[in-house]
Amino acid sequence: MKNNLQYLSAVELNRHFINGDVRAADIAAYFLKRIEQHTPALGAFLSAFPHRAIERAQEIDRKRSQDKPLGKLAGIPIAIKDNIHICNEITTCGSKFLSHYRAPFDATVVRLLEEEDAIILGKTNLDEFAMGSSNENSAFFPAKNPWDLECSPGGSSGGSAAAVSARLALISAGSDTGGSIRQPSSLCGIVGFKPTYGRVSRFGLVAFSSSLDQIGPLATTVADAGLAMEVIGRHCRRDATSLPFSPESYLDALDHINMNEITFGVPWHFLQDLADEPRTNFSQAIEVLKELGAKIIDIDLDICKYSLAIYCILSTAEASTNLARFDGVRFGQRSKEAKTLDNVYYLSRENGFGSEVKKRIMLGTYVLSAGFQDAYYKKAQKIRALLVHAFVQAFDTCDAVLLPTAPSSAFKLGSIQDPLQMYLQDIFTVPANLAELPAISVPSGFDRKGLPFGLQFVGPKFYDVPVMQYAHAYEKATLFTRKIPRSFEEP
Amino acid sequence: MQNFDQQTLNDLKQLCRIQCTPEEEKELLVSLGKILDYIQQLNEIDTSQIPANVFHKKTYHDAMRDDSVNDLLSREQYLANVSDQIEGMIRVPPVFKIT
Repeated sequence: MKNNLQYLSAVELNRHFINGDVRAADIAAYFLKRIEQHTPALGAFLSAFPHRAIERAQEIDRKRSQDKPLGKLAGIPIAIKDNIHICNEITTCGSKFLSHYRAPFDATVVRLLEEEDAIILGKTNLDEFAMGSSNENSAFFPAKNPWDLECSPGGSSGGSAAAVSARLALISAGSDTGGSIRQPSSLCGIVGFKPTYGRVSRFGLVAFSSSLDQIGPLATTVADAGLAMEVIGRHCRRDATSLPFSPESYLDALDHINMNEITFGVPWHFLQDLADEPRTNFSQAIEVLKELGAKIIDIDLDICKYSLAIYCILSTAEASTNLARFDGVRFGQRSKEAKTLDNVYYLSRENGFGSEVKKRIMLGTYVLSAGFQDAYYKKAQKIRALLVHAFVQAFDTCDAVLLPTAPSSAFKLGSIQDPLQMYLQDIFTVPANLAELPAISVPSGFDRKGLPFGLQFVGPKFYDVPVMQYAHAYEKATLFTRKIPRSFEEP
Repeated sequence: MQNFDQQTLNDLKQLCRIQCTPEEEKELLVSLGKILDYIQQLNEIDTSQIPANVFHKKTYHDAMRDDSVNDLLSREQYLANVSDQIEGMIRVPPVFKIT
């Protein structure tokens, strides 16, 4: 079996590889060909590693033929967001600043994936330094949405979501600071999981906002996301925020859930401005969960309406600090015109950064500056604590919170010009980042134009496995997760 | 609209060590003003009774590790991405002028 591999999930493809139905080298060649074929129109990848991937696949084939133990991800083609380091490969972060930066080490997630015999195919497009919700802030070209190439795939992991949705890879590693895994997953009709803060090591992830950033998987099914989490969800001594917990078992747990015992909370008042079509879709998803036996209650999370304002302050403050390292001295692009050290900083940053990155650095510097710190940064931290407390109270009465993942289905590229309107794409995803909670987006149907919607389950801190169990139960009842955009069905 | 004027922008450019094109400046003045307007909504919440740094105190603990030397990058690896170097060190334009 060498054809139609795009119809398989990662779990299924791994099984076929182990059974000897297909060679890893054939899998790698098959998906590399799809990347080559679709990159001009889709823009999902910034780089592909044909030699590295084929060599790696041949090694895995040799292991199998010699009956050596195989890793959990043996033969699975995986893409990596281009803000995560792969040793000796370019990490651009979607920025001109780092267009030639070659990573001197592997990110922990990359090491773990390769140790389990995954085949890494290449690196995916993103908004510059993961700042954006449409992929239009990529310094190179925007990724497109496989369901409609005139539409955005969302962001910032837009390339990762487009790649998995179009089946150019079966799993992708993304990063989520305010919704950057879940919002593009929703817009591209796939599963996206943001683990509890600290569950996955960020060593080797280029930092944007350190108290919010979290790496997680994008996949075609909940089980595939669970499989990836079994590999990457473990303690890492190189990340001081890494949780000192043993890896959890996701796949075995997925079906062991009695939905009759589960209560979901819906913050209807917070959702009062949701437009008609996504509201109808969300209500239908709730009906499905009720039919599965779950109890639905109304909860008060009104404080979430402030989450985007908190996020605007805290994420930019942290970004202004984290991105100070890009000074043109130690790495990245240095301006050739600079004659003084100050000029090196000014000109390198002017030429290297795009407009959105400059804006966020400036906003972050403003809210941290003398005279404004109390009014903005410290105030936002206090309200973040209130938001955390509101979620703790909510989880006294329900097992998980239900939210739409995004306020709309995919929008046309170029159609949102107002930065605030773009930031509002993350209004339903940001609360989970601020409260450090696990959250998953699972496909929940389509709008009148055939564009996907996503349903989000947000669980208590450390309840990553239960969140996936709920999403899996919903997925089995609806079967929206196995749909492939028509233009990408052919081999 | 928040009072976000050209002088504030000039100060920020200096603090951030960032130059902008005239088009970027025009856009920044409008959009930063709008964003600052938006985040004023946080003033609806009285936080005067909430202690500072409460989020960090409740959420984080010190993560200590042994002070040991291990697999750091070699000088060659570290310098591989430096655009201007001399004898194993980073070269930058002079900071002081010798007169």
